[in-house]
Amino acid sequence: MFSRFFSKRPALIVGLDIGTSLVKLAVGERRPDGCLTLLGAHHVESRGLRRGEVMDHNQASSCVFQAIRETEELLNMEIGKVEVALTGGHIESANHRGTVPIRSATGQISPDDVEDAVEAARGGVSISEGRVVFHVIRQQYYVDGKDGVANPVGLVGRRLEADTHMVHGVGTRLQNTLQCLHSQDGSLVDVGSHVFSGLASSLAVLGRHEKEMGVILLDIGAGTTEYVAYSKGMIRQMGVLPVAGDHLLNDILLGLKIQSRRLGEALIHEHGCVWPEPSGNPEIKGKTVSVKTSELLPDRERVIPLEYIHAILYHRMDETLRIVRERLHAQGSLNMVASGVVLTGGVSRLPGIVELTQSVFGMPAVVGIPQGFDGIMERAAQPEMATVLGLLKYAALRGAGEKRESNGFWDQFKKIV
Amino acid sequence: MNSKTAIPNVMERTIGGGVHGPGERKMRIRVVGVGGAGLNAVDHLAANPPGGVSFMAVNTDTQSLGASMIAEKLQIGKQLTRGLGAGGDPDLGRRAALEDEQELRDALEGCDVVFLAAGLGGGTGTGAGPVVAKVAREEGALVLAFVTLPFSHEGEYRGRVANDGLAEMKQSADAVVCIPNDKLLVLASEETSVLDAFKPADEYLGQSVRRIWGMLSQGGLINIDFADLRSVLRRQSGETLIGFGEADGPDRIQQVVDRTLKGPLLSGDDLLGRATSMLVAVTHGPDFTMKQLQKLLEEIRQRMGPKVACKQGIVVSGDFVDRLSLMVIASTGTPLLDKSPESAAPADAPAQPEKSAPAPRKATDEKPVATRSGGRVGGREKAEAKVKGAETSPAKQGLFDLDSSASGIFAKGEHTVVNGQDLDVPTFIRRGLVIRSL
Repeated sequence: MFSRFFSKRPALIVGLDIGTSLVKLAVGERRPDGCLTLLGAHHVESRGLRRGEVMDHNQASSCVFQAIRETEELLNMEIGKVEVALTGGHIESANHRGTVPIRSATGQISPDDVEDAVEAARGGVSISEGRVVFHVIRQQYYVDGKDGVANPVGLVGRRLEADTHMVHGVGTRLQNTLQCLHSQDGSLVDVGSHVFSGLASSLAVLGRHEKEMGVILLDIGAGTTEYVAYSKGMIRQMGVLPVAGDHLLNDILLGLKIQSRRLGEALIHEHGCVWPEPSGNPEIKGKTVSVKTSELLPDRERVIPLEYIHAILYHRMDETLRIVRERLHAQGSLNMVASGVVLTGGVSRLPGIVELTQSVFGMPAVVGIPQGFDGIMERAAQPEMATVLGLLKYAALRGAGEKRESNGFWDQFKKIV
Repeated sequence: MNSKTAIPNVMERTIGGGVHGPGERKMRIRVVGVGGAGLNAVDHLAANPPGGVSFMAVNTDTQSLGASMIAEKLQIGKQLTRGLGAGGDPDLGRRAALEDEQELRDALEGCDVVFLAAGLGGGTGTGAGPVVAKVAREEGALVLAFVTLPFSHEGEYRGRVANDGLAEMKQSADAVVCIPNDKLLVLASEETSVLDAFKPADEYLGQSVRRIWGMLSQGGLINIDFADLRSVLRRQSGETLIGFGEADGPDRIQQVVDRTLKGPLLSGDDLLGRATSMLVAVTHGPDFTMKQLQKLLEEIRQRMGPKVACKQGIVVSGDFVDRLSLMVIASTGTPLLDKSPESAAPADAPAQPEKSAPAPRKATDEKPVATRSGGRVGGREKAEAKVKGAETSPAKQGLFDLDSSASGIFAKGEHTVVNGQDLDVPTFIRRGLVIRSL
C-alpha cells in the first residue's frame, strides 16, 4: 500500500473492475514473450454501486480496499498500482478524422506530424461541458487520401489524415469510480491506466481474425451492458446501456412479488432462462416451481409457473438486446459485422442467452472466453472475467507500446490522456 | 410495346350478405405490381387468381412488361426512359411515374382496395411505387403495399435506397407489409433453386390478397367489413403485419396461433408488442365452444401490447369442423386524427374502441407522473397501462398490481429513458404481459 511498488516483480500488473455486483481483482505477470500469466484473481461483493457507477463512496471504497487487502494476503504481495475499468450510461464514443499538411521540405512524415494529425482529430470533437475524452484510439492513417496506412512515419506525402476513435464521459462521474482508491483512512492506491470496460473485455476475448471480419462484443454484467463493434480490425462503435442483470432481477422481484434480492437471485440462478418465445415452448408449458418468496417467513413457499419466470426474463433480455442492436444499426455498424456476437459478463451464463442473441441479431453468437493467458486457467476461462483480464492485457500492451514506439496494430490502443 | 391506358375492367362484387352486412356495397379490389420484382409477384398471383380481383402491371421497362402475363399493362416514363427501365435510379422511377400520373389516376379510379407489390432497392419499384400508392390513395382507395427489401449481399447502397423507399412508402400507403429478402435465404435449403426461393414471398402476397378478399366478401357471425379494415390500417407511417394460419385436431388453438404469428416471414420482430391497432378474424366450425374461443382470443391477447385497439371477426363455417383458421392484421402506426370525409361511412361499433384509446405515447414525451402509490416517480407508460387495462379488460381483475412497479431496485434515482420508454419499469409490464396474481 502507500504507493510502494512491487520490489521483486516489476512486471506484475493488477486489474481492478469495480462492478455493480462484484469487485474483481486480477494479478498477472507479463512474460518476455508477451504472454500473460494470471497469478491470482479475487472478488468480493460490491456495495454502493448502481448501473456501474458509484452512488455511495464510503461503501464502494471499503469494498474495493477489502478486495485489495484480501488479494494482497492471498498472494503475499503488495499492491501499489491498479488498472481500473470505467463504465456508466453516460459514456459515448465517436469516430473522428484529423488532417494536417506535411511541412517538411522532403514531404517525409515525421512522428510529430502523426501526433499533430491525432491532435487535430481530437480538436475536432465537440463535446458538451463537463465531459472528458478518456480514450483516443488510433485507427488508421491516410497519406494523400490513400487509406489503410498502419504506420505513416517515413512515408512521403503532402497530406496526412488520422482516423481516431474517441471515448468520452462525464468527468465527475468517471472520477467517482477512481475516487474509490482513496479510502477514508487515507489509504491510497495509484491508478495505472483507466480503461473503458467494454474495450477491456474486447481485448480479453476477441481474436484478431474476428476483429478483421467484424464482430460485436456484448458485456452484460449486473449494472450495465457494454457494446463494442469492430470491423476491418478497428473499433467502429462503443457504448453503454445501463440495463443489465439487475433489471432481470428487478423484473423478477416485482413480477413474482419476491421480497428479497437474495431469493430473487437464487431463483434466477436455479430456474432462469431467456429462450426465445417462452410462451410457445411446450417444454415448460404447465410446469411449475416452488419458490421461497420471503426471508422473514422462511417456510412459506409459492408455486410459480415456470413460464412466468421465463417470460419475464425473456422480455427484458429481448428488449435490451433490441435496443443495443438498434443503436448499432443506427450507426451502420451492424452491416459491417460478418463474424457474429460474442457475449461476456455474468448474464452470458444465463441459459438461452446465446439463442436469443442469435435470433435478435440474426447472426451467430457465442460466449466469449478470455484468451492469451496461462497460469490459473480455471479462473481465467470465465466470461465474467473478461473485463478484469482485459485490463491486464491493456496495461501489458501499453507497456509494450511504450518500449517499441509505433508497434503497428497494437499501437492503436496507445492512449493520450 | 405500346402501353395501353387502363380500362376500368374491375370486377365488381356485392359484399355484405352476412348477418351484419352494411347493405349493398360494391367492392373493387385491384392488385398492382410496380417494377420488375412487383411484376413477378403479381404474375405469380395472377396465374391462379382469386375471384373478384383485377390485376395491373406498371413498369418503365417494356421488355419486362411484355413478358408479364397480366393483361392490363401501363408503361410509365415513355419519354424519360424510352422503355429501357429506370436503371436502378429511384429518382428516375419517381419521375417516370409522375410523367404518367394521369394514366395511373384513370387506372386506379374507383378502387376500394389496392394491393401494391414492389421490390425496393431498384429504380422503378422504389421510385414509382410510392407515387402509385399516393395516387391510389388520392383516388380514394385503401392502399396496402407489400414490399421486399434487398438481400444484404446486394450491398449497402441498395439497402440504403430501399430504406429510403420504405420510408416514402410508409408515407404514401395506408399499410406497408415489409418482407426482407434475407428471410427468404433463411427458408431456402441447399437445394432450393433461385426461382423457388422467391416463392414464399409470392405465396404470402397471394394468400394475403385471397384472405383479405375472402374476409371482406364473406358475412360472418361477427362481421368484419371494409370500414373495419380501413380503421385498422389507415394510420400514419406504421409497419403492418399480416399473419394467417390454419390448424386442425385437438391442439388446434395453440397451433393456429403459432402458425399465424410465427410465420417464417414474420419471425424475429416484436411488431405485435408495438401494435396500436389490430384485426383478428377467426373461422371455426359449429363444434367450437365458447370456452375454446375465449382461450384462442386470450392466447392472441397475451402477445399484444397493452394499447392495442382490437377488432374481432368470427365466421362459423360447416367446412371447419375440428378445424380453425385465423388471420391477424396489425399495424403500429399512429391513428389519423383528422378523419377524411369518406371514412365517415358506416361508423358503427367497431371504430369506437380506437377513438377512445388514449393517444399513443410520443417519444419526446417523458413527463413523469406520480402514480397512485403516492408521490413516487413512475413512467407515464405505467399510468397508461393501468388506465387501458381497466378499460379493455374488466375480466382481468386480480392481475399483477401495476402500482408496485414504482418500487423495486430502480425506484429511486435517475431513470433510464430510451426512445420514450422508462427502462426501469419491467419490460413485461410495458409489453402488456399478463402475470396472474400469485
